[in-house]
Amino acid sequence: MVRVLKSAALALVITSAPIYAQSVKITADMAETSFPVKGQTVTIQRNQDPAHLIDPEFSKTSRACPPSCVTPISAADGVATVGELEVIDFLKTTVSSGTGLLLDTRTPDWFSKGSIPGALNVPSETLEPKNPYRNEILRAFGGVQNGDSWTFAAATDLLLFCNGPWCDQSPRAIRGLLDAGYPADKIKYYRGGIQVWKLLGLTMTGANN
Amino acid sequence: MEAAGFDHDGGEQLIEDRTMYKYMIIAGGFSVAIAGLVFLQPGKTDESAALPAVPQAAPAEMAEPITNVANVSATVSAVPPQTANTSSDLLDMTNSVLAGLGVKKSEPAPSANAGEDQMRAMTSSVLAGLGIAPIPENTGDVTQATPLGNGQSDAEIRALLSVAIDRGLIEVPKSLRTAEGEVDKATMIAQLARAAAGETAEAPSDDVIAGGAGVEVRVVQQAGKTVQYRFYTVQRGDSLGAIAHKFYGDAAKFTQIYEANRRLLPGPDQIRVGQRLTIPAITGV
Repeated sequence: MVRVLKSAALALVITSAPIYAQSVKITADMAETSFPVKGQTVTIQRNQDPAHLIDPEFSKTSRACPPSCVTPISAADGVATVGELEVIDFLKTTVSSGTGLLLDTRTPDWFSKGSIPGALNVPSETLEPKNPYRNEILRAFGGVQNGDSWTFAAATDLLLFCNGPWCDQSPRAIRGLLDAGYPADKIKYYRGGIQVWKLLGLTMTGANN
Repeated sequence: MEAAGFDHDGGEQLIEDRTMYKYMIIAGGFSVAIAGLVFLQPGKTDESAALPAVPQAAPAEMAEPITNVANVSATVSAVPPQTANTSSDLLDMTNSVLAGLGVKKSEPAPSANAGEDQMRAMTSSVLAGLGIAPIPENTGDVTQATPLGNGQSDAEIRALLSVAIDRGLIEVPKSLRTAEGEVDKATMIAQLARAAAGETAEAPSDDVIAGGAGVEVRVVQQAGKTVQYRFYTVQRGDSLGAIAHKFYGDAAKFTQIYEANRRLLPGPDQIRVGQRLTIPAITGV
């Protein structure tokens, strides 16, 4: 009896020890990161279950192209392509301080299934020239219209993403913004998108991480 | 008594030791299990999506929404027909996003072009996320029913404005919030009328300004030249737009006053009765 209890206790100690130490960090120096976005605290960390697999929706290798074609690393000249750590840094500094926005350019149904915490849903169609109401959004981003031309000197920094390297929504949205005169140096592109964000087990909004 | 199976000759002390040892293991096991559960948090769900911050609009833009009421409706009716690539599903989903953001659902107008309607709904949803009022619908809206300055009394226009503000059709610029937190409708209407008539702003004469309540003008000799400093003490019912109108003849120029008094004002809607504001001489246009 004593032996059974002893080994049970030992097993518990052994299994819980690595969890206590948070073994799946974001980087060697950063286990997780928290910052305020619009009055709420956002925490980003990685899934701590070593056996966790990406959900079936994102394990597909063969979506039809078009539309799901492989995208170039650069969305447009002058638009920087960034990775996960830059996205986290952008959230932590620029979005948190109210000087920039992280835009999820996917359709609302995808957005509602889960996104990067702190992202705002701006479907790519709304930034393309065909949207008759696009000016309202450009104005909301801080653009100033003078007749037919726009000034974006005071406009907010933007970081756009969609479902990943097989998704052209953010490149399309970026072309739409550039077409309207939005300066390329105020736009960044996270090509990895939700595909790579999820692959790394990084925190998503919604329950199905 | 025999059932326990313990050796009575073994002595009470040994039994007591063993029992204590057992209890210690059990207690230890439980605390480790609880600690494990605390760190694992099996039921924990992710942080809910925090709303992204609204960008600081360019100062000159803050006064935009009022001057644009007429323009928006004009744009809506002038939009060329869209190629309809719509599904009512998408509109429904957009509406559920809107609902999640606490914004009133925009019902599809039966006569409106479906593609255009979808774009309006999506754009409104984006604007809602940025804390901006949605684009009004094309049909039977109170804001479009009657253009301003069409022989209506000030009271009627005020009533229309109140309805539009209540329904979220008009975003009230922060500069038109009074010291009491109310909407400065008088300045709003004056500004709208000026914009509609295409009048250019003209600053009132110095004499008119100097005669107003709360106005303080100081003339200082500095290194051979005369510099005029103007100050204004916020009165009851004032908004920053109203003060700009008083001094510059244009409520949209509130940014000049706001910028000059940033130390006192956390935002254009944060003026308080009794505050003494510096009124800069107008620079640029």
